[in-house]
Amino acid sequence: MKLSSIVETASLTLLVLILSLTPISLHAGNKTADVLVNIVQGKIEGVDTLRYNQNEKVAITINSDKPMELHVHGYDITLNLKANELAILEFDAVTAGRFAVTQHDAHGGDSHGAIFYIEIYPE
Amino acid sequence: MKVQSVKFTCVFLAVLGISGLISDPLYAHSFGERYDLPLPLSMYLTSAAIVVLISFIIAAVFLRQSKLVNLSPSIQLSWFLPPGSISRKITKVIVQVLGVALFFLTLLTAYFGDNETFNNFSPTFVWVIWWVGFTFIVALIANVWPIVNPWRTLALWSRVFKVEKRRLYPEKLGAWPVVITFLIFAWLELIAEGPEIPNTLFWLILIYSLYTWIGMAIFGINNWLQNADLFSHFFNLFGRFSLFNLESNNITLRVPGSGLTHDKPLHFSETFFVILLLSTVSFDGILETPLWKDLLGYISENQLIRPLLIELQASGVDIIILTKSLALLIMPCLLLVVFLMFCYLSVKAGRSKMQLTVAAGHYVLSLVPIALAYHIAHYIFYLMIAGQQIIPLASDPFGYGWDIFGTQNYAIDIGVINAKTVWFISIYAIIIGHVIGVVLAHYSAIKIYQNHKQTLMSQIPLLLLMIAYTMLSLWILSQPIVE
Repeated sequence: MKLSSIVETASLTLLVLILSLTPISLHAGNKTADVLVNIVQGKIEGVDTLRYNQNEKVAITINSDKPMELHVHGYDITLNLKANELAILEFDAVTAGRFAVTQHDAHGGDSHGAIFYIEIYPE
Repeated sequence: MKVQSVKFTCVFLAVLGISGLISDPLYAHSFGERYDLPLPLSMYLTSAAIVVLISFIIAAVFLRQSKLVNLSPSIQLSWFLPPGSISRKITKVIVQVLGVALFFLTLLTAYFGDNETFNNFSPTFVWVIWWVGFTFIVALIANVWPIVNPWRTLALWSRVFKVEKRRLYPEKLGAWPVVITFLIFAWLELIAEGPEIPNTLFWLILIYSLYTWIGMAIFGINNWLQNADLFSHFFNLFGRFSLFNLESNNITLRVPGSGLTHDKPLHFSETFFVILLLSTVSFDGILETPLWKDLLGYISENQLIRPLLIELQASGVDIIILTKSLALLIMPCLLLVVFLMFCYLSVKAGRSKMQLTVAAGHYVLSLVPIALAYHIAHYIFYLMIAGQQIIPLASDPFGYGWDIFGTQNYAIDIGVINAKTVWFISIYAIIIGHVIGVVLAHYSAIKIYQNHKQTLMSQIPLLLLMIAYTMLSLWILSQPIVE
């Protein structure tokens, strides 16, 4: 039964590996600081995912070169943007999840895909 | 007389169908949203390591224990709805009536109700409650589909159809009709735009009903359902995992997954159906990864294909739908090739002279728990959130502004299940699914080989395949969903 002892040693080594890996925080690693989101031609400049922890206040300053209506999915918040005028998207991050922020067109649909995402990490 | 009435019905339905499809207004709305957070790296790595570790532990256990242990102890629950009892008959009728009532409610709301997806009972009921939710019940608790199945119940009640064999089902066909119809269904579910629109849904259900009842008329009710019906096949397969077994006379309690053992290898068409099912389960997740997005971008910018794509687009072909459809066809073939390759290695390692398709037929069911685990991880959050839609819809199924149960204004609570809970459910499901899969594969091998060393050697390639497959599921879960 030499093979079995090899397997057992391998298993033990792995167990140690796992235990050393486990206690890592599940919070948002690279949390987003106060940011300015710049939307040019309906597209975001720079990173497209903003990260927050649950129960924090989300405040995103947004500038767009075109007027549009932004829609935060899940939270169901809308924000009207005027061309080249700063607006603040503000809400309490009560629920964790990954939420798309899309542009509402004239028909109320959002067929353009997400402009950016807001990730809220659980406590 | 009978033939004429059938003909008349067919023509009538066809005319109705054409007029219905033409008058369909076009909507562009994705059905139901998913807010799943990607699995954090730490959890991803930890569960991946646990998966590898457990695989080795199981292998080690089997090193010592080579005898065919009874892996499927079961308890007969003879006191619970015993066969022939009144309680059993009443329960059966209640479930059947419920199935038929929901079937008609779905058809009626789909045809007469508001044609806006979220104002109508039918799309949420069919795609979220039945297709996702009911699958959870079948896979985890018991396969109640044969009793719920409204097409079967209506056929039984009508007394027009023969219950048992009317004509022999052609052996050669195998499960290929199931494979083809399941592909069409998967395409409608995952790719097509339209099945979430009540009116379109109505015609799809009607077409399936017609197809099913014609099949039943030709071959007999049970004969058709057992051999050629996609939903019966699908629920039967996932139902083999479930805790309760309803197939024997007495209801039995068994170890989850133990129903996936079998003595005879599956027919190749059945093997292909299982592989197809596994690939479509992962397909939905893969389509939402940034990798897929990048791949699409790469294809569309490729100088060789670009002129062709532009030409296709000009002639009215939707490139995205086309690419997705191709992927839906290629994925199961790719998975089949990989699976057969590992089966070949397993046969070689075990020094057996078994045919490749036979080996595949022996091992394929051990992949089902892994697929099921991913299915749960992928859909649990979606089911909990999109499923809530049924609460207001129950009060106002037609979208006419009714308020039968006083829940018409119910607002969906997206915090009903915490993202962290979802993560833990996902990784536990995946680890447990993997364990059951590995044990099942060992179990099959012991049955095939009897020789201790051969069994062990044959298991190494399969163990690697299963680890790879589980890792794929974990990887998809760790990817952010992009639209």
